[in-house]
Amino acid sequence: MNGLFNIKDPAIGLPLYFWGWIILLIFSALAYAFFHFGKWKAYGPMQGLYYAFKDGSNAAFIFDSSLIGEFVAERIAKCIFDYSKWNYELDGISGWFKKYVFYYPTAFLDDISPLHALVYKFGKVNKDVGIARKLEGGDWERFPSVVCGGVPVDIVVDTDNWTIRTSAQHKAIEREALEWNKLNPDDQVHSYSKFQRYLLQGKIICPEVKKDHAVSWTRVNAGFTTDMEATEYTGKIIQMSEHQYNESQMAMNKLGWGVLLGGVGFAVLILVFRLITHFVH
Amino acid sequence: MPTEIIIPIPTPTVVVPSGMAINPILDFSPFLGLPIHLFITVFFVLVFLGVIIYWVVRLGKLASVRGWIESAKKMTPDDVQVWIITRVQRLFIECMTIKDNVLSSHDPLNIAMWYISSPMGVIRVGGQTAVVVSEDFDRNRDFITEIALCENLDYFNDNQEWLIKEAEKKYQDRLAELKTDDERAAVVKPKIIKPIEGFLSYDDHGKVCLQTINPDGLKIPPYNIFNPNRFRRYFPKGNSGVLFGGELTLNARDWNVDKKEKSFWEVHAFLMMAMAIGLISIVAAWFVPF
Repeated sequence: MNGLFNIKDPAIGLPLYFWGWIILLIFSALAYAFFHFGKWKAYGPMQGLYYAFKDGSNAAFIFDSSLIGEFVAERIAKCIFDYSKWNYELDGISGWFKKYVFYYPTAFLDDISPLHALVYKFGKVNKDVGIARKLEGGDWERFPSVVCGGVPVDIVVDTDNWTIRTSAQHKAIEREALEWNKLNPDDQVHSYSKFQRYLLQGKIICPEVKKDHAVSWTRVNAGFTTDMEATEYTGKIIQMSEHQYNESQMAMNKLGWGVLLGGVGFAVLILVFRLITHFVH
Repeated sequence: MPTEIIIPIPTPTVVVPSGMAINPILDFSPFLGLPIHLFITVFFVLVFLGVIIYWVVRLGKLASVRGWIESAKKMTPDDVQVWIITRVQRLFIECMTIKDNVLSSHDPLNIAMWYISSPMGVIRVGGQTAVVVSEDFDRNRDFITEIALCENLDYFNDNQEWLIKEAEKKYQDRLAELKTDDERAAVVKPKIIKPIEGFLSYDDHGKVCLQTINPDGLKIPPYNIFNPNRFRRYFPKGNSGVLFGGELTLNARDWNVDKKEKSFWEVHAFLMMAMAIGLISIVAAWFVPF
């Protein structure tokens, strides 16, 4: 290229390729910022779908009793414990290995090869659902309500803030489940479903959490009406009839605007063309 | 003795044209005759492309919930975000029109409509409200109501004998407490308890039975994984969103039967005027003298 990139800029004498690097770096940073803040952040509560896809698990919508919801990965909706926070005793292995190389699911799951473990470690793939399922002996409550973007999605209704990690109820559940697991290593509890089952059976006692939630008859009757009066939606019918009555006229008016704008636009083009040819001559 | 003749060999000198810069490291060409700075440039181009591909792939995973953002952007007072669960359990998010509690699509060819019977079934995700509907039911769905009914109907159906005995016992105890025949006559005998198998039996006796047993409301466990198929058997048969929309469309047509049909000029007046103005403009533009 005949040293095209070696040309110095007249200002501070740096070669062009150097400026090219700076421009590419700035463009990379701008593209990152654009996608992160302009696009990704906008998805806010829907980002759980991506994390579920990455973890190879289900996703879940968690709703409270007022049906205020959030889209999260399955582990948030179902697992009591966050296994990444557990302390793992590794004989003869120094702290840096534990911090940067050790992938904690390998302590529970034996079907992860060392290479996969490294890839998952750096890809931040979370296997907590697999761990919890294994520790519970393979039983796992899973009947995805819907499929969203190829990911099965559970709809979880949590009326007592069990799934909020900072809530007092969650902390109490974590404490009681840990206690139960110490005493019953062959029948461990790692999911909210199993915890609730044992709570209702009276096997686990946890005074901080509620055992039921009352749904009023007002809500039930509105949510599942057995009859519907025609007067409730007559307004919609009148609106539709008005639309139907005026539909052909509205379509012609729309067409009229198209013809008007097209005609005037074509006339302007003719005028411009004539002006150009007139003055060129 | 031969004399040594020293012939001076000229050392090659690199002449750098003015206005150009040569760097001993970055212009070194150890591979394919290309300077190192070119490889570094290619690396930065790859970084740039990598950033774009990374985000496109990452955002692509959220394509099925793109309607959530799009509906938020173009929301007007007549619009509402609707989560549609199809018959094969796929979830789509769309923006629909709401008039008199009836949801209808912006697409005139989609005749499906739903009635919002339960304002308590409206969900809120990320500061946006939405209504959940499914193709096989013509009203909006309320997860909590459905969970409550499933839990209690299953319990009711599984414990028939015990509930009959319990109701009879309560009735007899109440009668024994009362002293006069008039008071006893005022006590309502519990409804005949039999299983609730679907919408018809729920409508016929199920609701009354449940209300008698649970006068203060239905109890659900605090943590529930919603199973949409569990409640399907209680839906009234055939009441789909498309049927409801079709019926409304026919009803709307009936309203117009008595109306006088619009004349040709009422329908086409504006179009004719537009055609005339457009034609005059073109002719004028063609013949206007300079």
